[in-house]
Amino acid sequence: MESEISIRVKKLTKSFNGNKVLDNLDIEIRKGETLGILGKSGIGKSVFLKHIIGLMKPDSGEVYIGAIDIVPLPETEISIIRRMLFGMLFQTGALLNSLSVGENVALPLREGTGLTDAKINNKVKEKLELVGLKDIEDQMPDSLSGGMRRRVGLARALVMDPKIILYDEPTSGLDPIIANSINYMILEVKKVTGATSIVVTHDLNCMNIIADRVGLLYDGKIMALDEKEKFLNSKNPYVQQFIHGKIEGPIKIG
Amino acid sequence: MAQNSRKASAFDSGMQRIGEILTLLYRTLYFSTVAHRNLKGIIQQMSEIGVESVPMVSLMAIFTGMVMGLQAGHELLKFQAQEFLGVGVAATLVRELGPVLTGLIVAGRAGAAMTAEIGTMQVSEEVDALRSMAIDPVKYLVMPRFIAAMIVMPLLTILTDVIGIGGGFLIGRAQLGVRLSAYVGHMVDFVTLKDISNGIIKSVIFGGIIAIIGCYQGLKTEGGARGVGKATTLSVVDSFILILISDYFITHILY
Ligand SMILES: Nc1ncnc2c1ncn2[C@@H]1O[C@H](COP(=O)(O)OP(=O)(O)O)[C@@H](O)[C@H]1O
Ligand SMILES: [Mg+2]
Repeated sequence: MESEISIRVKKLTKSFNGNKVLDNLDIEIRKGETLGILGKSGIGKSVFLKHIIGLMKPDSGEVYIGAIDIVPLPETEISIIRRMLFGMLFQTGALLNSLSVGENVALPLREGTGLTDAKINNKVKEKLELVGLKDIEDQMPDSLSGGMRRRVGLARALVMDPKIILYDEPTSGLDPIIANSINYMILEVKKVTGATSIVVTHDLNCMNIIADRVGLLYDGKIMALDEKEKFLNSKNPYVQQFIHGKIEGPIKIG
Repeated sequence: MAQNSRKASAFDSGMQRIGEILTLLYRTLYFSTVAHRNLKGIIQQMSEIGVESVPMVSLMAIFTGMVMGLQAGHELLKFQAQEFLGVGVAATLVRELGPVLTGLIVAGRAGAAMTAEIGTMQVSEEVDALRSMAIDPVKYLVMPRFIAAMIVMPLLTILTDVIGIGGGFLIGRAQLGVRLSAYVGHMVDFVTLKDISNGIIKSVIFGGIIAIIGCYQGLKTEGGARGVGKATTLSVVDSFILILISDYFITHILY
């Protein structure tokens, strides 16, 4: 059973100026699964993801990637783990605006490997195709729509063949049709790569399509983590309030 | 009590800032050892800093030179020593005003632009994205700007010196009838190689200060577009202060 576990977070706590965003948060993510974390805006979804990949240091707690707790590691060592294991799609793509699409996707290869230009170009093409894009290497990020930016951002996240992919609100701000095309792209990526994935979002439809298990982030903790069907039918009042968007309930608004 | 602890925390945060800036400097120097692998980035930054700064630097230099021509010419005329106008203008520019004024203008234009660019990248998660791809932002963003600023600053300073000396001559010629041969001749006799090299050393150090402060404030940016504006202001103010303070100490050490 132990070998099935890919990521384990223990008692993760993080405050900003006295505001406790993560409060003794515990969770295990299984190898190869797609875990969805739901939560309202500003509740700490991005902060949670950034702790998994070591972009933020917690006040206390542990983040095991396999058998290694990355919390005490220096940036140089975390960086090596990121290069070997992680890819992350940021909320609005986080493409470098001064680089073309092709240069953006190629960036991790150029900076982190000794591959030849020809090999890099092939890889860039392959990943862009995986996210449904062709012949857009020379465009600049400014000229792309929101959906395209996510696709390019995902191609870039995939270019080092990560074993763990983190998605920060992959569909927020997109119209329902484009959002769905992103959802199916994420499913496709999962099928092709078999990577362990964590998706944080407030988009229920996105969860419905892509997640194996779903949890709710509230009050600094993960509540009601379960298989998707069971989660959606759960009697947990927090879950019920969130998935039906009820104004009355234990989740405070604001 | 409360007053005391507030003072203490202001002091602490000041010390923390200095510590962070020195750490950034150290890491930038560390990555400067592999600068040759990113020549493209360095050249691009050199051209950006140059393009930002050349027009303002030229304008500043010509008027500074002309004002010095007026002021010094007026004094020298009392002693019938207007022949020495070139020495006065050149020595002041080469030793002192050239590097400092150029530094202030580059800080205000190119340093501010660095902060705005990196600050925007910080608040739009591009800096986090770099780190998520195992790319060190200090290596990728700071080092090329640091090297480029230290190369471009002396070039711009020489430009300031030359244009300023030219501006001084224009006024000397028009108002005092100073001949070019006298203007340049005395200048060459009195302004030493040491003056020139010291001015260059200053400008290189100022370039380093501008880039480190500009990048530091950019990387520290938080809180959206408003935060970028705030960081940009801080970057210019801090660079100004550091240029002026370090100018004193460098002069002290070099002369
Ligand atoms: N770098 C930071 N400095 C201070 N506060 C932060 C920082 N990052 C996030 N926060 C705060 O933490 C809380 C959670 O933020 P976030 O994880 O971005 O929410 P979301 O669930 O919308 O992704 C917010 O109140 C936010 O203001
Ligand atoms: Mg977020």
